[in-house]
Amino acid sequence: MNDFGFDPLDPVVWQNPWPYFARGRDEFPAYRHQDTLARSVSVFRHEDVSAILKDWETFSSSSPADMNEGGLGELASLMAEDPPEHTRLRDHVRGAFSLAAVKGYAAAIERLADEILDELLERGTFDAAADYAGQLTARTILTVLGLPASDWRRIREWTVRGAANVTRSHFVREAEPEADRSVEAIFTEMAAYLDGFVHQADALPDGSLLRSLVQAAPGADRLSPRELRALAALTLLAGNETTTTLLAGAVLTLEQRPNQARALRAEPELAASAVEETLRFRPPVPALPRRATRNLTLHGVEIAKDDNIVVWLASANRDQRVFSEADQFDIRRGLSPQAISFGRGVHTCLGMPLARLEGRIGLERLYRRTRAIELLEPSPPLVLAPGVYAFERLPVRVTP
Amino acid sequence: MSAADEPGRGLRVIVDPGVCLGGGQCELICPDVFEVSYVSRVRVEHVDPLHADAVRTAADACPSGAIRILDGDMAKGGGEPRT
Ligand code: HEM
Ligand code: SF4
Repeated sequence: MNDFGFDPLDPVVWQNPWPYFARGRDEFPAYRHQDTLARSVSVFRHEDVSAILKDWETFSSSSPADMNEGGLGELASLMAEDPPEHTRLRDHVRGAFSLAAVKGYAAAIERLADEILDELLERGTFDAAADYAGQLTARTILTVLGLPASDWRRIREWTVRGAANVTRSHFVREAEPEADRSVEAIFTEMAAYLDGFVHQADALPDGSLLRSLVQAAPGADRLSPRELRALAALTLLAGNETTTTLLAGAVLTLEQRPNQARALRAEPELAASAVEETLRFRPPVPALPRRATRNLTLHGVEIAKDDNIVVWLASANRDQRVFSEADQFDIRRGLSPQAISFGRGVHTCLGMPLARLEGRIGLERLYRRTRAIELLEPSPPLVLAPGVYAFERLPVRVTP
Repeated sequence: MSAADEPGRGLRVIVDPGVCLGGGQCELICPDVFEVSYVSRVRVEHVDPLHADAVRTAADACPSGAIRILDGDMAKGGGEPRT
């Protein structure tokens, strides 16, 4: 019964994890990893993934105090809190990232996409992940926060390295002190960078998110400078590689299926629908970690208090119990209400409307302004990180 | 009397503003009924049967469980929420 051997850190598995997910759903709906340092259980069925994410009391997002290494440490903010503290933090940013607030960014994102494309189309050959998607998302989130968009390379570098570490610790077989130290170094650099802005909020652009958070009406429940810094860091970290991966993943998935790419080029208004299908088919965040707060049994697997549970969104989104023709990529499918690409429950992605907007505009502008996109590597190498299904690179040649 | 007001046919929908996350799944699925500003707001509490399926889909898709549907006869007197 232990011959399943699903190891997300095996590059061969990671390049094509889908058959593993299918087998996991059918035969190993809860699977205890055998040789991992941490006690980790993977969960594959839609029904279980959804139920676990909604039950924050049994499946906590906080780590026990002695298990914080490799995590976001001081920068973890609301992603690593449970209610009621989580609710308090989230209430501060709920409005600023709500669907209505985010609609106001559409024109600016469109201008930015066009400005980036002006240069890239001139070049003809570029990295669709870093040069296009990565630049667009990094500059967008910096602008939203009110930080200098010209810092985008630095932010991207931090978030790419940070993302490579997400959820990795659940599957490693031996300690990686060097990797842990390098991630710690990123967070220290980021904290120092953000501190400067938090302490000089007057210099930030009017109406920018960071400025309005810092200057929240006195008397209201204010965030401390440490909390502000952590929230800003979290939005930078959570909003960059994920959205980059969405846009780059859409390009790859489309161009691997010429008739789907043709359909989008013929009708660029399908971009929103294509983004939804990419989110379902190839979710940028394939897995989320939780911690059991009590002993329990799941599909016959005994889970002890403090065991790690990793729920596989990428598997849930292909569950044939829920989606018809789940393994078919069809840009006309549109929003799948059952897809779990942005999580479920109290921690559901704060940046969901912004990510959708950036994805839609980024894809639409690219397809409106090109006549053809050629993948220079048919299966581009992936970053070995279970937390973000990201690309090392996605080289393309485009015909304007 | 519109169809929505007829006992047994109408559907009443409410959003709990304390639970709503503001991400707008509901508006994307059924913009005729839901509109998100700071949090989601229900434009029309008594939903036209035309939108009943979309409202149920939105309630299922709501990641926070903020949408409650009060069904059929119960729509009149409040009744137990059905989500
Ligand atoms: C396609 C792009 C994105 C995807 C797939 C994605 C996915 C997710 C997922 C699955 C979660 C749930 C984490 C959990 O349950 O532990 C999450 C949380 C979060 N996301 Fe995103 N995200 C994306 C873009 C963004 C953007 C653009 C932002 C910018 C604000 C952002 C900010 C956050 C924050 C702050 C959280 C933590 C929310 C909480 O714990 O309450 N995300 N994201
Ligand atoms: S889907 Fe639910 S949480 Fe999201 S805006 Fe609508 S009511 Fe609020």
